Amino acid sequence: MNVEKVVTRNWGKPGQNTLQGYKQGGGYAQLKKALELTPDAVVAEVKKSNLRGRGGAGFPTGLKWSFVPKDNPKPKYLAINADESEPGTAKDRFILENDPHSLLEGIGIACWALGAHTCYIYARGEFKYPSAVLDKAIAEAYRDGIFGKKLMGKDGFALDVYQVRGAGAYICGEETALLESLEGKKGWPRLKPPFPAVVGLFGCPTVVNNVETIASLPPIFEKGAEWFAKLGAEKSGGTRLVTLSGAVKRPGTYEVAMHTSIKDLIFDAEYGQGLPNGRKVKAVIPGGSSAPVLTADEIDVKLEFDAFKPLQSMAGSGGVIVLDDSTCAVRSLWRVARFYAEESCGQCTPCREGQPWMARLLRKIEEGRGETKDLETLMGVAKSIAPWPPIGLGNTICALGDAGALPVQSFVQKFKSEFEQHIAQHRCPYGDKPWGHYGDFA
Amino acid sequence: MSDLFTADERARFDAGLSELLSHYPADRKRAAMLPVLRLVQSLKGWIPPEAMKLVAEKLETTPERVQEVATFYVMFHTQKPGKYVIDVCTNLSCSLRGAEGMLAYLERRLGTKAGTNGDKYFLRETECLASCGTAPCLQVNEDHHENLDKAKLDKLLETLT
Amino acid sequence: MSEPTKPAGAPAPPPPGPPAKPPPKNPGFVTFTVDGKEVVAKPGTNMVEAAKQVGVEIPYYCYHPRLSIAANCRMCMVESSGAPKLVPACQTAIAEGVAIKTTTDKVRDQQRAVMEFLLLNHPVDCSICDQAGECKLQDYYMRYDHKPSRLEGSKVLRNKRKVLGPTVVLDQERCILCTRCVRFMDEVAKEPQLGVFGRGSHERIDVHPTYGSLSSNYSGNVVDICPVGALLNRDFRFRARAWFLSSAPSVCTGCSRGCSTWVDFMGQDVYRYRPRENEAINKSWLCDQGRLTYKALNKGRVAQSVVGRGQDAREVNAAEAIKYAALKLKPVVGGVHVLVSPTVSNEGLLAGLSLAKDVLQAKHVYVGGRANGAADALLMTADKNPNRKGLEWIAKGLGLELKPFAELEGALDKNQVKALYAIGTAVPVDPDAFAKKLAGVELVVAQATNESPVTAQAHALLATASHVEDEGTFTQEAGITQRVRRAFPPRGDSQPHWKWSSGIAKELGAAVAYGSSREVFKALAPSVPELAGYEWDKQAPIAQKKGISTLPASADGRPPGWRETGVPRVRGI
Repeated sequence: MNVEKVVTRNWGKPGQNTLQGYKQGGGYAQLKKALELTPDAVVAEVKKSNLRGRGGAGFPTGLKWSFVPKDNPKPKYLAINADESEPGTAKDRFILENDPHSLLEGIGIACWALGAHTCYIYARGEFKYPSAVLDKAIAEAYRDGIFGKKLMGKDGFALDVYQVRGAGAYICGEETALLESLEGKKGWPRLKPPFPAVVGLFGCPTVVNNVETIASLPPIFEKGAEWFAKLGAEKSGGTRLVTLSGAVKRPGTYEVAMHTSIKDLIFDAEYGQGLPNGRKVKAVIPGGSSAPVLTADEIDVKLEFDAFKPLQSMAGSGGVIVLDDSTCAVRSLWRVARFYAEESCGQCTPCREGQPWMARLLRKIEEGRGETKDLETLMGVAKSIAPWPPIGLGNTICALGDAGALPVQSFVQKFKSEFEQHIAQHRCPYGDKPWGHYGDFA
Repeated sequence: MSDLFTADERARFDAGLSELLSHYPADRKRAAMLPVLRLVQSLKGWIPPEAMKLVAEKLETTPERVQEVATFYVMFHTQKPGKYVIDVCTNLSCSLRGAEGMLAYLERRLGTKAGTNGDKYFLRETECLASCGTAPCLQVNEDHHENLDKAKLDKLLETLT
Repeated sequence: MSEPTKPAGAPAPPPPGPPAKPPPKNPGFVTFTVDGKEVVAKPGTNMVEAAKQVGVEIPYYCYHPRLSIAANCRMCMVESSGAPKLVPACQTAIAEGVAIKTTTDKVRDQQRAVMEFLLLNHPVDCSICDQAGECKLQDYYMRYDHKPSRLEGSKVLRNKRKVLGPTVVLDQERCILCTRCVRFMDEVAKEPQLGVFGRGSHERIDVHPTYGSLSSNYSGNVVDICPVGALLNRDFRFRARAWFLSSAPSVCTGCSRGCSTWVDFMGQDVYRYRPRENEAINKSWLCDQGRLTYKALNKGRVAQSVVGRGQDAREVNAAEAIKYAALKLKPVVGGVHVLVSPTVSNEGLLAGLSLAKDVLQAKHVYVGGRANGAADALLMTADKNPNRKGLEWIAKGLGLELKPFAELEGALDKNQVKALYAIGTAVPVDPDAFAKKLAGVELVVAQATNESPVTAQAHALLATASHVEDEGTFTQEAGITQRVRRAFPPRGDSQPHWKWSSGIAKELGAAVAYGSSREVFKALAPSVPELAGYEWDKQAPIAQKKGISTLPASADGRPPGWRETGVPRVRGI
């Protein structure tokens, strides 16, 4: 299972989160290299690398950059999405903590390619420590003359990088909500079109990229786009960071190859080391809690973006959550539904009203008050927000509607008997231990 | 307005404000809203109405716009919170590692219910804190604690005096 | 969550390049179909407006043609051949060759789902809601949902009666968060006094809890554009059920802007003004001050003519009043001072000034009317008289000189005024002080709609109909002449200005050839160049709706729904 590390290649090295340590490992040489290329050549290189967005949608990064209109006289912006809050996902946070300069170097490369002179890093409000590390790194970079009036001493190309901290709203990870929040408003996603590449921050062309995506740029320029592309699967270059959580012996954040399957991730000695004794996989949420759930039979699937299409699920943000066979599916789903109900921004009707309704129905079923018709209502509500399958038919302004409706439909469809059991027995069959092997607090 | 800040706080606010405003285009002062509210909260512990008015003036917007932002984001307090704001993640990954039990334990130990704001503790359930592989976790006044068990939590609680 | 679009169902970003388009069927326009009907529209038209062109109604709450697009209610979702999923019709511009379907099962399901979602936390307290009868929730429920609620248990509780300002009260439970009001205050009134506070299902519309107040002069418009019963006008609240009210097209006479209105009335009482669409003048809006001017149509009216002053005063009928006025005016012909108010309609002015010039042989008239007041940037003007332009035109056309009010006061001070004929009794000065000056005048003949200190000085007080009680025209400051329609017959024994003037003229021996305001205009307007070409008949707006009149309101003099205890009062209001 040995995989060449990309993003995590330097994690844990002493002093890696300081400029000095980063430079010792050859840091900022790639930015220098990129600055010698034309911006178009940089974009071409990124396109060649098959780098795809690591935030969830897996959209090709080079293609995204090429949507920025060249003839627009307005300033262009780069916004870094470090508002990591999809349940099950904990990766960007570790990049900020362990190797902040790799992100900053990537920002330099991206801004050169885009012609952007200002970059805002929108970090989650809850990230006190990661933000402090990043702030320090930015200050170091300014002091060293990397950022400021001349990017790496490049005449005539200024770059300012600022960190902006959110204040607790999942929705601000949606790229247009993030832009609204950056503009000092509440995080209500914008109507699309126009897309941010054309009308983004302050009405100017803006590219929004995930932390991991941008932190992948220095290695790409170090070892070449072909190397990166070859490292990955057919249309997805590189490796990816996944977070393994739930009922496994060794949860954590791992860098894996695109061809690694979820099954390997759970059972491999290098990663999850399997489930605790006597427990079997009941269900796996493969890409953050909004991804439709997989049953134990479906987990032999590669962690590559396109591999999930036949399963009507998605690789998402790489949050793999494992439920063992002593876990209550209804309670698990209720937790997920509650999250989307809490985090709905309240802008459009189906999500604002539908998500809390689903959470309420699930609670009712879990607490043994459910009736047969509730299941039908639940599915009806979910379908009205975003029918599934296939993915992508949501009726809401942004994809948060889908994010809440897909888990409900997939759970009910795949674990229907368990829901019916709850209703028939008027109680949770797992009694007061619904959370599986590791569910007790001791 | 005069009694909103002490002289020292006022100086820190003014300095912070001018630094933050320099991060944005001159005609987009409102963009500094979140950082400025964070600054106010770091000085006062919450965002009092007088501060909203002040921020509105400084950012060339209206108190309504400030109120919208202050009530949208859960980390902003529009009411004075207890001395220790304890955010416990109870989302799926944490619950699979005992978060519900941890919350119940905290409720017992602190003698409060989740969601109630007291003088000393403001215990509340929060959503995923990106500690899924290191669950369960909680934050005390934004300080992050993960991989918690009873022993670790007890030790942490002892420091909350 | 992180990054670009949300994991699930991320909307596809724009394609790399526009695919080659077929040439448009109608160059310069976009041609497409709505439910199979072909529509040709200007590029950029949204689907809602385009569908209206062929009579297809796409339901919506948040959309308003004069506000920015929010697309948050999701009621207007339709099927479009250009998209894999339902698209919001308000947000989506039509494209060449696209086929829109508005009645498919998918669309119907979505409409029903949105209705159910909106009603989920709605209190459904229609029986005590002022909006009942003109509520989009009610209308659309009957048309698109018509199913019982599946929600069990409690609803989200919010503030039921929050006074937002002098004009508006908010019921947050009824609110469907379409944000029309917030957008109106931001974009049209430019006084962003409203906001959406909180998040998710607990969010609510409000003013700032400490500093806020909906004090804008345009706050009443948020009541009009609120599709449900959340925002209500404190003046109108609990006074009438919408379906009992009849509406007549009219204008607001509060200032010289002359906003187009609907006059909502029952019997001979006016209950409210609502703005009437008029692109050239007021768009869809009306100011709060103008809105309240309807009150003068109900209160303090001169309902019966009076002759004699002080102890000799006695109520008389119209015929007697005319005889009396003519008898008294006859000896002073040639020496009558004429006061005219620019609040009177063109017809009243035409007849009145003809009398003044041709019969009373006046060379000039003094301009009364209301004093100037505050103006604002949107609609309200400083000149509080609705027909100054008309007066100027007519006086010029008839060859009469207009003299400022101060000169009349000067003449009064010098005891030069023996007789005064007043067409309208509004004065731009303190009416008490002016009335005192009138005390020494030997003859005051006044046509008045409302009681005032001035009318108390009249020797012949002629009860006059208001502008909603007769057909007529008003010319606003920019020179736009608007027709008003008669809502109901003149109150009491009053009659229109023109009728008094023509009656007196006839009594004094002049040949008068008109018996209605229409005939007044036909006969006299030709001598006024600006009005000569005005098509009086064609310009008449078509009357809107008749209220349901369960019993003739005048049968016992009480409106339907009247209770002996009167209008219920609510705590806090």
